[in-house]
Amino acid sequence: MKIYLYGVREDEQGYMKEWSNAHPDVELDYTNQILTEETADLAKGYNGVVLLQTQAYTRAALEKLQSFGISKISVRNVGLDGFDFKDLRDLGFSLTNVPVYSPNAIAEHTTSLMLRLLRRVPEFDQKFANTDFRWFPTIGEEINGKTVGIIGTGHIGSVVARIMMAFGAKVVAYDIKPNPYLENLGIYVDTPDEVIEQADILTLHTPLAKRDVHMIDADAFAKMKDGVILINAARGGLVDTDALIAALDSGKVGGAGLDVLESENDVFQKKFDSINDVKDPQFKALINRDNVIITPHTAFYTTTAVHNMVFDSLNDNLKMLENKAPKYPVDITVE
Amino acid sequence: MKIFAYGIRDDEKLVLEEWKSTNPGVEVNFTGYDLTSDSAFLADDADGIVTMQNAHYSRDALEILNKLGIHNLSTRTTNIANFNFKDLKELGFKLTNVPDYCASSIAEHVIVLMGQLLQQQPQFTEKMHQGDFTLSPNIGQSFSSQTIGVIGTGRTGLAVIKLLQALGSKVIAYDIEHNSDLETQGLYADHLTELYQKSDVITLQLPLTSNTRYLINDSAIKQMKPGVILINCAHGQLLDTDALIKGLDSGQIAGAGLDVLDDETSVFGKIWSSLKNIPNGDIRDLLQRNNVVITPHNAFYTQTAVRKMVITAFDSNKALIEGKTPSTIVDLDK
Repeated sequence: MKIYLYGVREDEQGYMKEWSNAHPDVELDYTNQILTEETADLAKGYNGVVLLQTQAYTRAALEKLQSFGISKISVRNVGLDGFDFKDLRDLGFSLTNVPVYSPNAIAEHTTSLMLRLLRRVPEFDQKFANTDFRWFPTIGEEINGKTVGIIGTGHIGSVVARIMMAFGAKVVAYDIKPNPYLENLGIYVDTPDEVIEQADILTLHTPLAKRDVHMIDADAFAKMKDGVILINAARGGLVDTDALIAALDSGKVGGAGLDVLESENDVFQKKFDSINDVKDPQFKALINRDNVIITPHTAFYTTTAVHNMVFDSLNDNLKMLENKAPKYPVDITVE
Repeated sequence: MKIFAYGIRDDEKLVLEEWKSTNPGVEVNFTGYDLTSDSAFLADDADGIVTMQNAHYSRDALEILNKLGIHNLSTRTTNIANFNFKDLKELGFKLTNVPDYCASSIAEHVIVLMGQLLQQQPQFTEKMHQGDFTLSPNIGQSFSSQTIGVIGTGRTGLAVIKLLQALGSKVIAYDIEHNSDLETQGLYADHLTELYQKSDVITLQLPLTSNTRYLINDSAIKQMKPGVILINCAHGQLLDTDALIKGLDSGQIAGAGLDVLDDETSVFGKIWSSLKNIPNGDIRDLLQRNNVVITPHNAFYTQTAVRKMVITAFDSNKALIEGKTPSTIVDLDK
């Protein structure tokens, strides 16, 4: 059995080796390039592919895989918005993902972004860079006592809710399908608007369904409390970035912690000669503000998560190749 | 009734206004200056004094207050080490402090520092400013995969433990006196050595005494796990800075988050024209490392904490003036 992995980072290789040692009869090879029409040729002769990329999976690339007799795809992450399920159906692919690899990692990063904004860490960094070691007048705030609004209470949002309650925050949450384990906490409200209106700190933890593109737009910002802090460690497309920039300019939004951006594929994972070479206008409008913290899609990036992403995706790809039921099959019959 | 306040900062004024509006019978005046023999006269016909300063309270200043007939003193902080109790007793003063204003503030700051180090945030920030948005090799560690040693389980230590447990960390604690809740949970190590050997991250939440001064020295650091992360938001002198630097150089210590430093008063609170001018070589060294996160003793400094400091101090001072004994009274015989 032969499996080919795309988009492999250096830090994944140790876990691949570990998996390989436990499966001596499976042959693994990999590239650090993502799957494109050109790189699809690398998988020729392999039985399954394991992928990870934020760019779309093109029909042309998938057609090539199909022509090599490959029909089993496993992604090492949760997000499936890079696939057009119709393409997969047309070409006869089966797909698995890793729906839960470390809810804690994202929840912790969310907490960390909130705390760094509340404690005005970028301003202190700036002060230190100017060798100014005064704490006055850069007064901070605490999560304790704040109202934290959570939209989406699945694997990640529910961990965020638990952490926020321990920090002494009042949590208000919305989900289309309330999580039964959280319902008795009395945190749910009936509409996303109620969350948006009440929150001192608003954090998003939903997937990017088509109807949720720009869930947070100019109208939503208008309903928020003055000085609200917005955290997005979910999907860049959930926030209308131009509306966010306007809300930061007007002071409506007091701070933003962003691990994802609408246009992140033009910036994140890339290495520029200098930060000035980044041309994306939204990124440029956000990066130099002392009330905005951008992290380059690092929330998931912990040893625990990477281990689970590599192991779960390879296990499921092998299961499919052996005609066994995978642990995390994706239903590609839905739109 | 009149209260005069010293060392009032801009961020305290709003809270002060709030207190005045709920206590209309009290006339409050204040200055931004510390209480010294020069400024003591400003209190003139006040019935009580509310104060907060890092500098020592001189006997001269207290004698002037005594002559003005003022004997009710309330400090807006926990710290009472800058009062000479003998002076206070001889001159007939009563003193109150704010015993607990910032457990949550400090606990959250501990999490800020730990999070930045576990997620390698300084490295990512530095990479990003150079135009590098790649992940490898700066992989983070999840709180939920860490065993975290908490030395000292007083108010702040307990608050830290509560947050760490919510974040999914395994907590191991040490203190001479045991908290019964933590005891029931079986969190206490029998010896510091056990805590040192088992912890991926260690945070200091204990007071500075002659027994704890430089508790974390070469021999303590040697007993720790290679790659340990150290956090100190308690007192600079709990940690031997030379031993810390040695541990960072050898890699025994992978990162340090420090809100307090030994000899910090020579650096914090000031603006320097250049790093080169910083008089303390150890601090200069630490400031230049990207696996060391330093904050200028601002762990306590939140709106919530400042509000509690101001309200508690003024409430206590008013109670003293009314001849009551508030719960915040300091026993000057101890």
